[in-house]
Amino acid sequence: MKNRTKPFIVSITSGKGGVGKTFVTTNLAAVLARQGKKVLVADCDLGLANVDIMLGINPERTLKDVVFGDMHLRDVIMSTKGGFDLIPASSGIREMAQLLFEKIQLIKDMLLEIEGYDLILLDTGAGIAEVVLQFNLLANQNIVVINRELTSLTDAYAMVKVMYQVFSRQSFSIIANNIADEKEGAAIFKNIDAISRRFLGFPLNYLGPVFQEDAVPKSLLKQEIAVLTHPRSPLAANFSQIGRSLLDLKKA
Amino acid sequence: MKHAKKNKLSSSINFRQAAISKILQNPSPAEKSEDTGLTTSQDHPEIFCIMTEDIPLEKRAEILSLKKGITFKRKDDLLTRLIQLEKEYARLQDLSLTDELTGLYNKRFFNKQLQIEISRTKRTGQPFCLLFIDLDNFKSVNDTFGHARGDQFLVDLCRLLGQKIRPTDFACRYGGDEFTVIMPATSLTDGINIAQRWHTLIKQVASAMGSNVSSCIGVGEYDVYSNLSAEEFIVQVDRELYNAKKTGKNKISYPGLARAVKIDDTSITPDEKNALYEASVPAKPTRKNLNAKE
Repeated sequence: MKNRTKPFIVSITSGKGGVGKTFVTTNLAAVLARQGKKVLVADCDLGLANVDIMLGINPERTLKDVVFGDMHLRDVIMSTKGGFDLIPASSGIREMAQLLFEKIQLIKDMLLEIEGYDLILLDTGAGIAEVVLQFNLLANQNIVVINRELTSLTDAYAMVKVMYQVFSRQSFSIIANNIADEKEGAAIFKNIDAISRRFLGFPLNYLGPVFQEDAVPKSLLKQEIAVLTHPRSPLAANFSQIGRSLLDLKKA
Repeated sequence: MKHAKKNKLSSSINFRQAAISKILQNPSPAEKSEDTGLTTSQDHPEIFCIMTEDIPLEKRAEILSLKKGITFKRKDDLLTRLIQLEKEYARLQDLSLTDELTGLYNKRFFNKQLQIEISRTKRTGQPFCLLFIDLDNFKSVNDTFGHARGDQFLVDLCRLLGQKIRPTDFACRYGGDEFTVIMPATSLTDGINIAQRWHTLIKQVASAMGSNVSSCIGVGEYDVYSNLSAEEFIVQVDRELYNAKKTGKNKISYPGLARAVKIDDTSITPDEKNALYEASVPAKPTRKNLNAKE
């Protein structure tokens, strides 16, 4: 592989569950892959992993074999129909949700050893559990997915605040998901940005909105990737824009 | 006998100083024993209760009413027997599993139980948790009120903790103002919750006693995949405790936290909550306003 530089690691996190982290991750990964980037998605939602479910695959080997077996992360990487590679996690395993610090450290170290990718996207679990914080800490860039609900804003803000207070992080990017139009997205971002400036003293970065689309629930049901099945939809345009903004951040 | 032992038989070896009460099982024919100078009955052994001076009067009656004592045979040498008893006492103390002051389990028990729990986890696959609790500012209690009050503080605190502990957990006094709790069949998340409860309880109990004592707690989980020895596991949990101590006091630290986070430090303040609420509620008017401006 020609790419010898270290991959740009991006975590996709939310605070609140159910705002579309995994949806954003898979579609963003597919868009970046289509733009010619080599992308690896790591499903770091150790408690309730679902990237594999969203893609309709049933992985033979998962993160569990790395944590509790003697495999390296490299050994469980698989390719997907989205054009990106995936490190699948196993869902619903109690021990995985409560990984000890040393084991999280082990995964983090292995992630840093992986070469040959332009980007690694970490799909973290919801909440501000230690596992989530640790993966956010590992990433060069943290993307926080929000929607228009109050709980989503509150939890996203809590995540930003904890990352700032515990690890002094001051750089976060926002994606507003399931949004009516450009203006609603901008308004929601403006609000959370103002609160961050006021209480934490730093601005947030806006990657853009992802519009509500009728095609989304259908493609989720069919375990398809919306940007690939509907490449001309506004949604696909949203993700292309987000992908470009993210690559700009990488260059910066 | 139990009471007599507690009051240190060593001081009663010199039995000139000892008050010797005689409880006659059979008050009839008595004669002076040549070697001990004590009254013994010819055919039946008599029972003496040997007490030191420092047993309070009311207790003396209680002990006598127990009618328990040391049985001497006719040819027994009292001094030899007392030395023997003293050795026995030391041996029992060695075997003892409770802390004399607080009544909690002691370090010896802790070490044994820790081994048992490690084996249990390996066999059943169920994790267990260990807490290391260290009191903050306890020295100030000793310095201000003296060591007797400090001891009393510990006794009162441990009595209350003993009432609140889950029946399956083991609280041990590790030394000084350091305590450990072994929690069988407990995962790390549950262990952290319980640590938080202990932390709050200690603070409440202390403030009810008018002191500013708080606690630092280190938490550790031993799961079926752990390869640590008991000693290594102790070191690991002790390190968590140290981590909490060194970054300030009044904290809980557990694996998974890169550093101890002060409790409630990260919660959202009411001001922030209000701002977030205001930001999310008038979503539509905001949009109209934006339109109006354009």
